[in-house]
Amino acid sequence: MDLIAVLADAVRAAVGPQAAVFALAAVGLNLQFGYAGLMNFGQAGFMLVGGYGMTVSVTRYGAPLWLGVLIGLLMGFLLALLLGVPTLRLRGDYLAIATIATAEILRLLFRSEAAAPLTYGVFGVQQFASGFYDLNPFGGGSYGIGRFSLSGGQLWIALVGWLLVAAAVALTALLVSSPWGRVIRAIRNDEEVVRALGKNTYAYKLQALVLGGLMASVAGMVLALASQAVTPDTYTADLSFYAFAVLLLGGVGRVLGPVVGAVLFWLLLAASDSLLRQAITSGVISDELLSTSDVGPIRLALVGIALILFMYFRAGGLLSRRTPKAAATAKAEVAA
Amino acid sequence: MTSSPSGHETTQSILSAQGVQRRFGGLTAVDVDDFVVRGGTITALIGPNGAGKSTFFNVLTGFDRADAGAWQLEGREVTGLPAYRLARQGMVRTFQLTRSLADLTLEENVLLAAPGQRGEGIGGALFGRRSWRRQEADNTERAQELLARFGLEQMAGQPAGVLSGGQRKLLEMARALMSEPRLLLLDEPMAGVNPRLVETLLDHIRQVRAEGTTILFVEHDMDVVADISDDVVCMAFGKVLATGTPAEVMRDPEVIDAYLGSDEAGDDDSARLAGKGRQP
Ligand SMILES: Nc1ncnc2c1ncn2[C@@H]1O[C@H](COP(=O)(O)OP(=O)(O)O)[C@@H](O)[C@H]1O
Ligand SMILES: [Mg+2]
Repeated sequence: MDLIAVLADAVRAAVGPQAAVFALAAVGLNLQFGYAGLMNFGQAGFMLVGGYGMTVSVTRYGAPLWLGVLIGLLMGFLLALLLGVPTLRLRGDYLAIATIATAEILRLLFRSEAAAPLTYGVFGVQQFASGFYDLNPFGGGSYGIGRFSLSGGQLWIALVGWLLVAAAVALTALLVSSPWGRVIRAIRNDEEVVRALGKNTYAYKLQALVLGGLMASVAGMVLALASQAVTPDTYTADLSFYAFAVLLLGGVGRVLGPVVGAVLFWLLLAASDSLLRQAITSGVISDELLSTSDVGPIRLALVGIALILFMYFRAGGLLSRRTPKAAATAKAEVAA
Repeated sequence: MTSSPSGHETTQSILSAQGVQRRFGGLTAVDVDDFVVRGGTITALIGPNGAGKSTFFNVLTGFDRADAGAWQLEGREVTGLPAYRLARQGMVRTFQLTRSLADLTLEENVLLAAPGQRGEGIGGALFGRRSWRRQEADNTERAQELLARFGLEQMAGQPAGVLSGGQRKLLEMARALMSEPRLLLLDEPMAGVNPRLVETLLDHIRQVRAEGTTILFVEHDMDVVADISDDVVCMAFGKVLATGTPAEVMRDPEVIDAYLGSDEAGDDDSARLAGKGRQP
């Protein structure tokens, strides 16, 4: 077995555009769920409208790429309003139900025959991103050392993806360290108290939902550009749950949690994938026991196990910050 | 059935309500014809459990809707305003079951209540950093003073989740005061706290009045009420039975009948303090 190859696969995945996509979606989710306590199970829906918004306006209407990006963002904004305006005055579970259902309905709608003249139906559309790759400053060569290398195009989309992650993380850091961030953290604790102190909690929750949704829409666009494809079945509910998995692995309510989580997620996924495939092809694992087509689901099960171990040994994710023991035991005298 | 506080007409009302009703299905939980809180007083709202005191509080402060009625704060019509706008107008409440923001530090708990913090808007947070930091520095100074006043200054940096029940009551009061209320509504502030802390809380409440804030509070214990309040309003079955000075209200036969004359009078103090007084 070639462990260097396993390592190379894992590293390439962990720094690649896919990891950036997941990091972006999870940064948005962190703002919504980690800080404001909003149960959004529909990040896939935001990614879908972002990816399709950009792609459809470029391919169907000949819009320039920048306009496509703006339209993708607008779609994400509208989806956040659609989900948030009717539900955020109600109990938290309504948002959870609305997001998971709407994301799934959107996927079915976009893959339907009736919508195909706009959305290209089940098979989606491919190879539309030449406008983006024309801007690639790296050319066609290969970058990196030996097996740890990416093509120029891959490097370009990875760079753009991670720059966007950096921007989203910076925005989150600025916001959560401000009085605005204090209000949304307080809302997660007890919304009624915050209302009693004169804050329009509904507006704050809507803002957090919109911001996180916009980040997921950008993630959807990066995903579309990286794979040069949008297909409706990319955006299944699984994708929303991966965003949660990434967040839980890295650390809920920690600014860098989603980034660490996304890297970890892809390291685990790609390493187990590569390892299993090699073990099967080299005969270490008999192909009667396992065939290469089983690898996909099994590697996800491994990530699931990692997640469970994390929940058990490090409940707050890799970047968890435990309450200092001193704080839990200290008792100040109540002044008489 | 109801009467304005007798002999006090010289003082202006800070809060007045007329015909306020709240029904839950067939049950009329609140049916208050006329209710007045005079500015600068400590007014106690008493009545047996289930009288509708909390529901009335919730309606007045925008946490529940009214089926009928109107109410005014310092002469301004505020009927049906959402809770956050009422709070901004100076009517700030606490909750019967104390609610601290457990993940926030004590200092953050109090800072959250500071009015007019420009960094609480997204635009201000991102582009007005210098401005909100200056505000934050001033507010932090005031928050520290308030925490010190309630004996919590040593724990300022700790998450509120570590506080004991009594300390949470104090924190909740410090937080409410940070918002500079004109009228402070306290729902059973003394429920479930030990007798020593009751004295502390009463001193704080007197102090707050001395600083010019009006207080309306719900309480079971008649001794406490007689001791501290200027005015007493007694509710039973959603209606106001009597209004007046503590002595007047306690003499009122209807009050004695509905509240004091019941088995409530025989209850021991701690049961009443814990707010589980009356078995109908
Ligand atoms: N959300 C609600 N739904 C139905 N009934 C309620 C609700 N809230 C309060 N009640 C009823 O209204 C009455 C008044 O309750 P409450 O205002 O809590 O009384 P108090 O605070 O004086 O003890 C009680 O009979 C209570 O059961
Ligand atoms: Mg009550």
